Amino acid sequence: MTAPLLDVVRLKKHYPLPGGMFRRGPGSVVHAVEDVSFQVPSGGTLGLIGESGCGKSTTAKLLLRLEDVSDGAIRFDGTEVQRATGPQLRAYRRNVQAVFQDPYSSLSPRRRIGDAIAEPLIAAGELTKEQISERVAELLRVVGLREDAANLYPHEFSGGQRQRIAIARGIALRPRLVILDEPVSALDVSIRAQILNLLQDLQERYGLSYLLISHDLDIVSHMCTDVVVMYLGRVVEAGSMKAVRRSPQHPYTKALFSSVLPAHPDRRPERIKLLGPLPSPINPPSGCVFRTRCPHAQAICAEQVPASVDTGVSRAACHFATPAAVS
Amino acid sequence: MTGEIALPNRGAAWPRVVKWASGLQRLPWLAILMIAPVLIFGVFGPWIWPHDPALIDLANTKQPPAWLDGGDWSHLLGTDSFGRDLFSTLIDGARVTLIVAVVGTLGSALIGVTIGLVAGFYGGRVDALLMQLADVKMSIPATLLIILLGGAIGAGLATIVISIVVLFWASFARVIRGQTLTLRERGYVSLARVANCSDYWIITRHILPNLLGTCIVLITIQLGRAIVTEAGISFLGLGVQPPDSAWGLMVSQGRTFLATAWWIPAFPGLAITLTCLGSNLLGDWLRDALDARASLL
Repeated sequence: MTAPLLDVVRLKKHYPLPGGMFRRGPGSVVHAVEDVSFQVPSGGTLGLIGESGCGKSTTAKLLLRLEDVSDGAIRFDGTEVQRATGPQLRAYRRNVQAVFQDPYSSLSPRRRIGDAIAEPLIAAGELTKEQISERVAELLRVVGLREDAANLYPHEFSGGQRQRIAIARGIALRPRLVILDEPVSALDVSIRAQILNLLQDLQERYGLSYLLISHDLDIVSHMCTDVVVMYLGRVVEAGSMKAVRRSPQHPYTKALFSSVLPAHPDRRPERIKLLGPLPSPINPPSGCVFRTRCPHAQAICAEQVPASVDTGVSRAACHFATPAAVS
Repeated sequence: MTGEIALPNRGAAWPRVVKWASGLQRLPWLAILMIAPVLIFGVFGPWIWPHDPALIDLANTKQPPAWLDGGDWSHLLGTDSFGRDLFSTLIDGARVTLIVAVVGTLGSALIGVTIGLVAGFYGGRVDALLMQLADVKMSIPATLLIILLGGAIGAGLATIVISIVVLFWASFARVIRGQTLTLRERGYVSLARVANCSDYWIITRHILPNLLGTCIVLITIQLGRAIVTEAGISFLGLGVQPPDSAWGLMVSQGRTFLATAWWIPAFPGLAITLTCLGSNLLGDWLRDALDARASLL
């Protein structure tokens, strides 16, 4: 396998909670992202899935350097960027762009669409005014909007159209990696397929790599070559999409996939229901973080943090995952 | 690639004149009616007033308004204890009111918005320091501050303007800081950072334009407060000095005649009330008009 475009190694993000007379004592920390490692292959799509609050979006913010990394490394094309500043950071952001979930918040209500799309190009300072307006027109065409849309304001567009504009802006700099943070979650189901197809077309056309963050298993299955499953800030399972979907190894992944409605109503697999609430990331359970809701939990799960095991299908962080036979 | 997606059509069915007329109808006429006199009197006073406002006529002191017994149509609102025409002094006073309200409010807006913007945008220690400063300011009683400033600078127009700036900046700073905090977290600000935009670019292109509505509303509301504060300062004797006139000063000097010649303090008092009310009404209307959709501005 060729070197990954983005290599994330044991990434951590801790938010210290303020101490104080009526607060929790000092030392309370929210473990938003804990030891997360994954790779985005060049030209491929990596899916990052997990339920709300598992640290998916925090991971995206860390990768975009919108939040400071507590520990760990982010390597982009072999260069460490987790502490990059100044020109290094600029160079990194030149190649990594993003599309966010909420198309209503992604566009400033008082700026014309053309200005919004041109913004990364202006900031990069590589093109003349004429070249920029040409590029904006081209981008609008590429995402399926009319060129004269450039003169309109965001409130004159629907959610789907706005997301197309956000995508046009995201690819304006011809980045190598686009971080898609729940790109279709805010859209109507009927629009989702259009946007996903657009994203796939653009990937082929420009050779983009995607990191697709979603809680929707169908979308991730449809779009991704590889998948990373997160639970409470940690990676519980990672592997190729096909293999993980066919035979998930971690109990959490099993439960997750059993919740998807099958294509055929008679072939409904046994539904695994998770009991109890999601534990607090301030006081995560000892040992395996999933043990409080895991149907297979044993004594060992509370004592030791499970190591990531290569099961032959994927890498799963579970004490009971069976390692692949050593050949 | 997929076909083109239909764009919204900007409705152009109505001719422009009709649209313009229907827009006129929605203006806050009551508020405009209350504020317009101050603007007109303040700017064109010397061409409007029927008598020289400083002209003392001791033969005609405390003459009642024209429609009362003993009134005279040459002195519409009557005369004060020195025989000066009340209507003319009122027009003269509008100038001070206008200068103080506009300069004082804009000055405090400029300082307050800058401080609030910097505090909200950069956060951390800068924010803590600036907001502590605002808290300190808010904990000092206004009257005390005015008297202190009056003592330090001396009475006059400058004192009123400076007092208003010192008194009002914190209200701007607080509100703008709060707004900036929410705007800072918007997707388009994060995306601008990802696009390598500078802080200056983000503040001027993304934060400030979205604060504009709030600023305008705050300014109109503070205008009303400024007028009342000006009256208060003049009433305390720290504002403009006779023979110049200001509404607060007129109320202050006229209050001794409340029993014998009520019109001397009543008309300037009424002028203060109406102008303040008008500016508050305008602020309310602007808030609603700007809130609904960005199309108005």
